Amino acid sequence: MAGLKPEETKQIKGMTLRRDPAREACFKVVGSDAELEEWPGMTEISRRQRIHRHMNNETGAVEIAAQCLVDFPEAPWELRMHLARQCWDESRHVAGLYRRLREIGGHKGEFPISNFEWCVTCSLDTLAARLALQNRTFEAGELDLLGQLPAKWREAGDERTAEVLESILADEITHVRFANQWLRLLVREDRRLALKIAMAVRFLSSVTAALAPQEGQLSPVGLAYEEPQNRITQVNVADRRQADFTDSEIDEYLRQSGFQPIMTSNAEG
Amino acid sequence: MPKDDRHSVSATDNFDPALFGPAPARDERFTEKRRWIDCTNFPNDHALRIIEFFHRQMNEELNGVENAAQSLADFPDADWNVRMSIARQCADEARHVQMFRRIFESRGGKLGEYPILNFQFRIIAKLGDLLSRLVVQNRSFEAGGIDAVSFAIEEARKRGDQELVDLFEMQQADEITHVRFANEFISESIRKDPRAALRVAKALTLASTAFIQVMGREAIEKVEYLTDEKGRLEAGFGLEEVKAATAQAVKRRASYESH
Amino acid sequence: MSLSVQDRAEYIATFRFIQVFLMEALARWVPQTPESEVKVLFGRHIWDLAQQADGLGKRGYELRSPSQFSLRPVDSYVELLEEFARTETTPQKIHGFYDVMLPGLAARYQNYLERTDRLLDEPSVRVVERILGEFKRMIGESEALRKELPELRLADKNWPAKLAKREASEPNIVVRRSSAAVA
Repeated sequence: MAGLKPEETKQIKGMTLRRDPAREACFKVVGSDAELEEWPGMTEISRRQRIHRHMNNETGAVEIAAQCLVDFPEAPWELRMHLARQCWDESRHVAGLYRRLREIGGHKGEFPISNFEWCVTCSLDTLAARLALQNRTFEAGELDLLGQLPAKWREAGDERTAEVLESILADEITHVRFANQWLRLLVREDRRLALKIAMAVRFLSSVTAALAPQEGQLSPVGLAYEEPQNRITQVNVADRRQADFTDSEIDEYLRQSGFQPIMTSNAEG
Repeated sequence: MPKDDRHSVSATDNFDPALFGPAPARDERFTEKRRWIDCTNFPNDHALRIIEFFHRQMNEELNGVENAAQSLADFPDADWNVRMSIARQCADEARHVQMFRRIFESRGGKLGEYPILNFQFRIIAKLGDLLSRLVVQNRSFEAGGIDAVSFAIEEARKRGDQELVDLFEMQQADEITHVRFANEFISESIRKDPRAALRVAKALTLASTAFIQVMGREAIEKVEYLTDEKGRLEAGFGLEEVKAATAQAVKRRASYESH
Repeated sequence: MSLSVQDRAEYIATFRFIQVFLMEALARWVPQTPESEVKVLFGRHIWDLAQQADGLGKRGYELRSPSQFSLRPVDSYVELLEEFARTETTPQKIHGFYDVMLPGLAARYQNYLERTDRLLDEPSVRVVERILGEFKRMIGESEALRKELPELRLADKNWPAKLAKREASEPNIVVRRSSAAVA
């Protein structure tokens, strides 16, 4: 694809990112996740806010996959079929979460939203780099999160949301898997893509650092931000395996995530 | 009620039981012959030659359905993709039966009017493994069919028989897909286990021996068509294989013309 | 006069081109369209259109074209498609896509079904009939959404009619090719 035109980009804290996708007027779009409301616990408002945020993330996932179809028309047809299928899956996730949000009394635009994943991923100029970030990083991270969340919702007595999340998890595994399989193939055919992917990962780190909350800054709901190390989710080894991560990739990820002590037992699980 | 084919087989037709299995079931409208010479073989310029051909071809296509269906039933553990292709082949061959029946009847033919040959089923279903069956049915008989149909298309076109051109072209496109999936399956089988090449060679030898018993030298030498190189390449044959098939066909024609 | 195998391959490849184009049009619109329900509708239908294109691409291969081969339609129709893909307002996208472009394409499929020999070309007939059934469902889903969200209704009632007139103005959109070029 050709590089982005200036009118397709935005500047935020010194970083050039793709401009946000369209949203209805009811939504307040903020520039970073740090500006989102994060209500603690599983109170009613916290539950609505969690689903609302997840719904927007899934909307972003539809948009990213759709934009990949637009930006890379020469990609192999089989890969485009996966992306088209992903659009369908993510759309169903949005619809399922929106239905659930309304069932528990929420509504669109009730909380601010951020399009971080879109703005970062769609700044990248190769499909391999986008798959590496969106599917293999963000969605793989969602596997870890969704590996734990259903139990948390059940604990809070919300079986219905737990079921929605479990259904989403099953689909996300397939998205991570096709990305893993295609990335291996694409990199084998063109070694230069490995560099593009490394640069994409570095770009993500830079953007994340630039948009991170300042020390001592309070969140929009007046609470201190949790330290990054406390936000690490337990790695979902079984589903990462299903998503075609190799054992050595999972080991490496566990190591980076500070999970070395539990690696052996989990990796064998 | 299936007809017992023993009534229509002469005492001289004692084919090697190692090469031929039982016939597929047919109802009483049909009479099966075992050898080509016992069929109704009109001379080239006879008005009924083409009508009889439709009937014969309809039954050969029925053999095609039966062989593919038999393989689906006999090899439930085969790779799912190849089973899908075979299931699709069942539908295609069934459609070909309907196509030939339609044109046969529209031109005045009556089912069972001519004797039929079931040698394809008898030979192929006798083979004990899927690789051998696909080698013989798809890669040998149907690939030969691609060549024959190309010739027939040109002949029909020369006669201005557009209905027949359309029919043959469609049949040919379908046969190419059948030969192609078989070629892919065969290549993959040999890649996984090079000894499979021996089974391929054995199957071809058995089929060729059996084929000659049915057809006789006379029928084989009368074959007028050459190789459809483009069709064979589309069907997944290698360039060298196509060249070899062409050389063989040229030799066969030269031998026929010199008689 | 019936269609030859090459005619059929050309029709199927042309249909595939349109299906892929429409899939990409919806994909382009997803990030650009503000209403989340519409994003969801388009996102679902991207997959429908891709599967339909895939079915046509496989059928084309059986008709002796290269696998997943697309044939660009006549220029005037491509211009219409491109212009339509630049549609900006959500009601126009919805009405244009579901009330004009899909029914227009459905009419072309119907015409193909009428022209081809349903026995000889039964595999194409199956693919096309399946697509037609799915079009009905897709159109039905868009109508349900329009009932749910009346703001998606189009103020200019003449707009779809004008678009439909243009869509129908080119009855034959298939570009004939030499036999060597197709195979």
